[in-house]
Amino acid sequence: MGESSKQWRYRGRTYRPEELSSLILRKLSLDAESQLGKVRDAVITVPAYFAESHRRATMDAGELAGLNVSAIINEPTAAALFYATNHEVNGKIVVFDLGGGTFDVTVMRVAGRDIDIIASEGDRHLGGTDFDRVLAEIVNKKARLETGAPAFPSDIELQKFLNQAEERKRALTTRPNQRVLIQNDSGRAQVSVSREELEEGISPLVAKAEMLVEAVLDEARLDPGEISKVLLVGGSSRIPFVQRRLEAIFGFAPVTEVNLDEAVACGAALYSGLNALKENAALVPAGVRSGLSDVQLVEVANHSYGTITVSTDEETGRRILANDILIPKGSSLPCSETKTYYTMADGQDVIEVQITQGESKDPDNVNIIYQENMPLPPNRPAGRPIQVTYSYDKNQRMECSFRDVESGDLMAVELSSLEGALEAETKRKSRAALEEFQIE
Amino acid sequence: MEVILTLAGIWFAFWLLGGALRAIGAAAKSAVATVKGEEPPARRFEARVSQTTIELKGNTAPIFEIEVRGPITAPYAGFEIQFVVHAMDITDGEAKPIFCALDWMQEADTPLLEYRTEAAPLPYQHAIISDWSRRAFVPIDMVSLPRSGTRRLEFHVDVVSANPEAKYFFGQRVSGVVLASATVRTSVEWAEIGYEEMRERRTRIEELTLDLAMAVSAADGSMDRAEGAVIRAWLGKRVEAIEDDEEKSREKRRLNGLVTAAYQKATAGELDMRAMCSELTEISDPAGRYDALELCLHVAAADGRAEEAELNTIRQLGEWMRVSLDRLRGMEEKILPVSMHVGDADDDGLLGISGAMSPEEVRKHLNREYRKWNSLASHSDPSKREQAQEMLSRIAAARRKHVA
Repeated sequence: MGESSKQWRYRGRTYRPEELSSLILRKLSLDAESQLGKVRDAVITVPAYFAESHRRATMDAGELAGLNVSAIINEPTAAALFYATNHEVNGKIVVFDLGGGTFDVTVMRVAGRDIDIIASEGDRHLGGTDFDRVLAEIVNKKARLETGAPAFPSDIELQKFLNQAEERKRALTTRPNQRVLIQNDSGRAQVSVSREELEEGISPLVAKAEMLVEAVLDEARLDPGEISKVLLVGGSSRIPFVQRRLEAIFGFAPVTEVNLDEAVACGAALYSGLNALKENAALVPAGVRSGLSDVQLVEVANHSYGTITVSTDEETGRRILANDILIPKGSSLPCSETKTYYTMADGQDVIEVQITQGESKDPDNVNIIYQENMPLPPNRPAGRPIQVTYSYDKNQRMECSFRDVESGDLMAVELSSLEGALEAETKRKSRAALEEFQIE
Repeated sequence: MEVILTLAGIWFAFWLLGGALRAIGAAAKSAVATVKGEEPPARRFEARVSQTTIELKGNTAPIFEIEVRGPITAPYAGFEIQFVVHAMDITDGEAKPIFCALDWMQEADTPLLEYRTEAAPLPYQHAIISDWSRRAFVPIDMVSLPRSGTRRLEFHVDVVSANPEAKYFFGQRVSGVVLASATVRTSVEWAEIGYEEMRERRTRIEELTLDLAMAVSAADGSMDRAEGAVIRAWLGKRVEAIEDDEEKSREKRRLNGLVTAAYQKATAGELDMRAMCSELTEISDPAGRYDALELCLHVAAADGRAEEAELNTIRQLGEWMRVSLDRLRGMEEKILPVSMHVGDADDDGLLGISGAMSPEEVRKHLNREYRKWNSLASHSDPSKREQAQEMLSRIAAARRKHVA
């Protein structure tokens, strides 16, 4: 999502990720409508680590599916919301969300119904599908050894196996071995895969998750001993090896009593209820109203936001371009920060306004999410102050202003993940092209 | 912003000093009122120079103080004059220029030191400054001499016509009228490195950089065309800024000579890299050392493959040059991304793991690296995303290897 370079061709047409995602959302909303009647508004959850472009693409997907997306929230936040409103919990908890394709880990402070997110980390390329591929590789390797031919002679055969991999992984969580029937160039054969072999194969991937768990604790300045509960979310967190590794880090077993597959969706529904309470409490059924009335949720910025400035390299004394962060990752929302910068040259009549997303000081290693020239009054000496203010609200909406202090000239930019990235015309064309997939 | 503040701070110090010196200059100008008129000159016009200090807003600044006395004869009373001071370094048997960093204390078209008082009318046609009178102040911290050590300086004071204004070029008067002049010499112990020494150092740093790049090129046992092209491009940048054709040709010849010598030394195995790094560390600031390492990295990257031998050589150079190895690794990650690395034996070096680290230190280091690369996994540039994914996999593998 949010990566324009990724496209798929199907029946002579190229599809963007948001278009394919919209088909899934459409199917979900139709399913919901069959139970609830017309669905108009939706809260969509995304991995906490999604960048601005991914969130905007998600927004586009919702719109293409004909939904009014009222909020885009982080999956661990949704899971924690669900857990905290259904269990008695106090203290600092870790939400470990290992899903089908992404991984998120979040530390939060929960006191009754007050939920403060402290820090989040995630990996957009770590999840159950990676484990499926590991399983396929093991089977392939064994097939070569035992039959002299690969287990999957074609991509289609491989895909067939991957479609069933979920079941096989589940089986290995309860049984020590799994037999896989293969049909390759040597004929039919059976390959046995043990739980140990799978665990050995996925251990580099689990190591990635472990590192992010430790990283998020570092970011929250917490030791594992200060965590009172580890909450598992996402189907892949069922894997016993994953749970053992977490136990090794924290010294106690993670909580498995939560509905791993639906905790996020339930949390999103609760979030929707919270929003409705704020906007029009009368529309919310009394039971839900009383259940949610005392819930307080404090989110954090999932990325750092800054601007590109000219700085002095402390070691070499040379002038360099640097990303200067105004809102650091992990700042509690809402937040606002103002910094003053100065023009560099006599007669400087323009500044290049750049808003960045990313933690690095190196401009090459951050994303420029907005870029525009701001004209300045001419014929002034260097050193004129430019006041830059970033404000980030609870709905992930950021307002940035660049103000020339002397003239009062202002450039204001509003960035919101609740605004898609696609042009209206592109959306219209996409909707028309997606009509053929509509399920009535 | 830090740079802006720093530069502003430096500028402010200059301005402060400049303002104070201007004020003192104005006071010197008023001293013309002490002349006695209509008397024939009793003595010749003469100058003297001393090293002293002045107080500037609580700070003490060392200066050369130039005083004059004696007769001045003008075409008529009320003739507008200026005192102009130039200085040369005469230690080495020839007059070498002295440069000044304050632009208002420079010749019109050169950075040579020139102190010039404001124009003021001489009250009498025949005037005499009877007592030693301060005419000029040269801030010692603002001037550059050719070399360090004991230096012999010659100050030349002219009393010149202000209208038309007397102009100078490289210390030689090219217009205006001189009414009186005096020359005075002094010795000074100069601790600062001189501009000639700086030039020699720059040349030596270039030589060493080139030698090191050649050594890296030869580290994998061969020196190929692509590596030569990188070195040629580096040399090309050094001459492209030169405007004068003759100077450009001279510089090209010099650099080509350096390349030939470096190549011969590299192929003959005569390059002692440790000694070169030691010398470079002694004579170059960190920027020069990083420049040398950057060229070495580009040479290593020239053939599109990062050979382990080349990488180990560059890392060793970094250690010998006492630069930040983290910073060097950052440069390596940019110039030699993981996709160029050949084999995986080099992962510890690639990830910055040293043998001196304890497992716990390795764990913490890898976690930091993981966070760094994980944030790049969402970069808008697909090549950076790919590099990040590859690094994440290697970090995870390193954790399995080093952390129980």
